[in-house]
Amino acid sequence: MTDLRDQFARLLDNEPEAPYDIDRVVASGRRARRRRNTVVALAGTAGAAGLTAAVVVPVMTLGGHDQTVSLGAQPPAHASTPPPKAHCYLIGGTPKGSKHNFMRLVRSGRVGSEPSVKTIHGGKGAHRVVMEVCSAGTMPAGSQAGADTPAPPAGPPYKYTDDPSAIASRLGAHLHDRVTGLGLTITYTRTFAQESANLDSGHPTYFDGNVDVREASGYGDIGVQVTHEVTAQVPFTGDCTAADNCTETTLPDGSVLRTGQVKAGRGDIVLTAEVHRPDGVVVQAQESNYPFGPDAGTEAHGDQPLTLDQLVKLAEDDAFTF
Amino acid sequence: MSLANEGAFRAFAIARRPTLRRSAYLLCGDWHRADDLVQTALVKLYVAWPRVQGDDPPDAYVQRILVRCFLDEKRRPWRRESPVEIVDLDAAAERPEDDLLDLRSALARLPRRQRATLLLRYWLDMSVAQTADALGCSEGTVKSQTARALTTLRDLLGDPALLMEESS
Repeated sequence: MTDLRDQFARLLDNEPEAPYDIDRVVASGRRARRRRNTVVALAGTAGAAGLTAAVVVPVMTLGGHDQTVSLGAQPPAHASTPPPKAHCYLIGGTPKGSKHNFMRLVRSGRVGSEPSVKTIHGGKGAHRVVMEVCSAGTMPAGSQAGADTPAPPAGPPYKYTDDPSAIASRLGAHLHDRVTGLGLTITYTRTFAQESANLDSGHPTYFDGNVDVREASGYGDIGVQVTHEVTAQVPFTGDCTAADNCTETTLPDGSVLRTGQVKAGRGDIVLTAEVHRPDGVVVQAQESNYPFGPDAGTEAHGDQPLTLDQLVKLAEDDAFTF
Repeated sequence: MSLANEGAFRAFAIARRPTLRRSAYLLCGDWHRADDLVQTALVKLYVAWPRVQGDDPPDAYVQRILVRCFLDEKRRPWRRESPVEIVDLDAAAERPEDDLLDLRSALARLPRRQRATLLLRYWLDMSVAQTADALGCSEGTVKSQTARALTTLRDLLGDPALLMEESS
């Protein structure tokens, strides 16, 4: 008998080093818990009845369905925190323990120090309440329309410009053209994909894809992620502390370019160039000196397939958008 | 989550991640996607951690999450790897581990659910009942999926001895 387990084990003989650390998992987990528990359901999508977190704020004792009240709260202590954009958030669920969640939203700086709060559903004594919290200067939706009208999402509501699968195909084809245009030979393609084609709280998840390339000294990999700043899944928002040789530059068009390098272990190097464009699109281009596809672990490390300048130009490519 | 809870999660995740990663690779055949799957599974575990952690480490629970994350990928039909070019075929043919490449490609040709069934049964050593629980199907389905998967692998690999007793 041939032991299948042994054959499985042999497939794993050349396992590459994991390219991320546990802090990243925990950070993502915290965001997921926040999304799940705190709400921050950017209206227009989340069903208010399904929200689980809660908020109790003075407005509930003061107001009914259509009252808008300004609340004073301490702003975040960070002097460098940018002024909040005109965003509205829905917070809903049972009243118990909700004050904490509301204060977290305020402390996050997303709604400024004097947000407007409007009760959308429930009220004093209710078991479940749904409230809309808007940054100063933004009128809650109910002030302009009926209380049953869904509030707009934070930031401009996103609409796909094309079918998501068509966008993925376009992005994949463009990466293919850019890479082959540099004279590199592609040996493996992971086509562009999303976590979900559905809008997450009114916003899209990122698209990402990558290719393995063969060069004289071995294999490498080039990948691109494209997303919008409004989504909760911006992949690389660090302040450079997680990367070596990190640089941050403001480009003439107002875009912010970050570059950095991460040692992924055993000679594995990942270079990143990330561009935050003024229109909110974020493009992250990464390259590694090892492959991710079927040749992973079977070849010696190659050189980085692109120079840093080429990687930056890839991240700056306006065609990477959706 | 309290600091103590988070510390326990970190310890669990650090200890189990290598195992999860290998399972994920055997499922999808791509280390990059395996890392994505493990990341997704661990994030889901983090969210559920206060509920699932008890006296026993939730190994089976997180393996189940991982397999279901993999099966859920079928809902994203455009997420398919597609080798576009084979470079240096002669050199590849001389590789001593060519049979491994065969196994990898044979696994890739199995339907996802059959691949997951094989992984749970023969890599994670789960019983038929445990596998059925993890996949959310009946034990009979597990047996039939296993038999079909092994038959396919035998045909593809030309190895009639591959776990022959399973089909008897």
